[in-house]
Amino acid sequence: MSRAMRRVWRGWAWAAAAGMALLAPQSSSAQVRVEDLVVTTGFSGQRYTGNLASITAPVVDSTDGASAVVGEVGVRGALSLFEGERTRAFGTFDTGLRQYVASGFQRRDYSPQEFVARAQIGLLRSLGGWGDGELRLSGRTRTVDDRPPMPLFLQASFDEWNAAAVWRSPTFSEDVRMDVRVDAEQADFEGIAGLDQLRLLDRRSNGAEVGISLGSESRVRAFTALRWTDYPEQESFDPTDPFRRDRTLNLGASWSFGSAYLAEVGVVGTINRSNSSRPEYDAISLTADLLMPLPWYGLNLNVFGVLTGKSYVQDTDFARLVPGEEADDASIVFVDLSRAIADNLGVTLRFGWTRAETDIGDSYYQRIGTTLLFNYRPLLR
Amino acid sequence: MGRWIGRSLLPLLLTLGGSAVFTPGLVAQELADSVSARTTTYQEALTTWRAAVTARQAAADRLGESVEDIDRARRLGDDDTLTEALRRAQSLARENERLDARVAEVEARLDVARQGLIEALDARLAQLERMLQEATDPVEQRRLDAFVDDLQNQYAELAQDATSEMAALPDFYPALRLDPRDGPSEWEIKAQLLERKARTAEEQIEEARGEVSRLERRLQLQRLQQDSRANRDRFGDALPPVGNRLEQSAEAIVADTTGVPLDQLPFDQQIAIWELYIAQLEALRDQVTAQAQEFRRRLGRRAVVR
Repeated sequence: MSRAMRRVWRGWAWAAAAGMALLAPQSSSAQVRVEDLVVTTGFSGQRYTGNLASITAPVVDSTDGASAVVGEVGVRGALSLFEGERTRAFGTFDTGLRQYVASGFQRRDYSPQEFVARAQIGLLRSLGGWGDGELRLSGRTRTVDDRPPMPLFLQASFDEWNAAAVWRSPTFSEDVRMDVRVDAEQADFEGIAGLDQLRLLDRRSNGAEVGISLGSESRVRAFTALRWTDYPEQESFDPTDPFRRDRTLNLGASWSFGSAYLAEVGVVGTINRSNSSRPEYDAISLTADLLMPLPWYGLNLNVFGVLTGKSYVQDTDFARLVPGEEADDASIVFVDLSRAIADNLGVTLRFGWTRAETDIGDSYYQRIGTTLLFNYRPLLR
Repeated sequence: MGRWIGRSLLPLLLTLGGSAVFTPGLVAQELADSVSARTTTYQEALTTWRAAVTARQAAADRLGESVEDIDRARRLGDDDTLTEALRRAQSLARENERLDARVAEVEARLDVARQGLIEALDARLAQLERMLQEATDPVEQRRLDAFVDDLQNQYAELAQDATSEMAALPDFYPALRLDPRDGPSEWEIKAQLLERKARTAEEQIEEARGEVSRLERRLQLQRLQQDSRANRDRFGDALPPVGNRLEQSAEAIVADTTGVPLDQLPFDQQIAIWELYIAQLEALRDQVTAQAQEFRRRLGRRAVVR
């Protein structure tokens, strides 16, 4: 069995164990209830172009264009684990498998496979006049087998853990609420033969976020977040402080509206400073998400876009990018047309476009694709 | 060896023999104690059940008042009062559901206690009747007769409890129920009032169904949004490539839903509460319609007699 297959099996076992833990029979006072279960299947055609190099690819291919036919399946669910008078425990899980059949490469044809699994458990407690408190523990794993060269970019394999505590204030006058979140995260990237540098991405981080929101149907939220991140495998080239340490400040705001249509617009500014001058940058990211029913054939339109601009504090001559993690400028657009076929079955036709660019050698990466997805909720009436 | 066996067995034989001699008296006392204990258990269960039914009736009264408040606010065009009255009515609907469950729970306990008492009474009656047949002393016979009569009375009361009280349901407008002192004019007034209440309930049911339809559309949109996000995020397709990922705080989920305004609950919970409210309005409508029909039937019969 190959190393990647072992990782896939480990991932499935990990997801199954998490699922069993979540679904395990409880006492009568802790009755588990499945609140949502969604099975997604789909297939797509994707076209990749560009000349952006990636440290996550084991080989370099001379092509600037590649195509892939992709099949995918995903299962996600939400569980209520316990419902007391003032306390609730919940769990969520999400697993998925994608199989690519790629073509257009010079060296050979690739058949990459992505496996992802994510699980989360949380505990909510009402603090009476002090609002609500929440504890969350989540884990995520990701495995890629038969990784192709660029421009078919796939994120690296990693395992990630996150623990978070959230406090939400009671609602003040005019639907004003405050929230505070602290969390700790650990991500370990798996190096593969000839690609040990993936471990450079390993990180340990702690963060805190404070937000304030106003309104309910039309809601505005502003927040600020501070994050400390250590990269224990990356050198800073400073003998007195040898490993990279970043501090990141985020300032952001969002507006969301939910009525006959759903809309969300957000802006997040990022200031990243480090003990290594190479990764110091400022960035701004704009997000828009609109979902509205169309007047024809029961169709719904969902438009999602992210536009990110990034500026490094100091210029360097060598490439410093980890595409997908740290590209300079990136634009992502998804346009979904969806329709209910039955009460528990929906179909979505998705058009997707992603482009990332860097000011080093005018490198770029672009993906254009069309996906047909079916979402089935077996537990729905 | 034989002496050892004899010494060992003798006390055992004496004990068994003694038990046989004294058993009838002991059994009689045990059965009497059993009836006494089970009567106490039954009385306690009955008291609890009556309290639960009373509480449910009080909640039904409040729901009836609340329907009137909603109607009044709507006619006056007072939106703030209407919103508040609707929230109160839905809160009452939840309270009624809880009280219905409570009544069902204590009713089950009462049923168990009743069955236990019936079994004890059966056993005690059979035993007293045997003793009565064997008794030769007239004084003893009269004493046993009195016991049997008393037990049979208890049995009859128990049967009456089972057929009358167990059928009790909340009465939404007790002031408008049939009163033996009422004459035709009171019947007419009560019938009109009840018919108006039925129409009001019907109007509110229609509006509540409209609200459920609206919420179902919102729920459908929300599910589409969740599907869309999940399918984008599952494999990281929509990850902005700018280094540290910022985990957005998830939508607030409340831990304690009892004190939360209805419109801040998840849509499926809001729909469930509205449907609960509709079910109770339908029960109210059906009950007052049946009562109005009963008054109309009496008025019609009287007109025919004249």
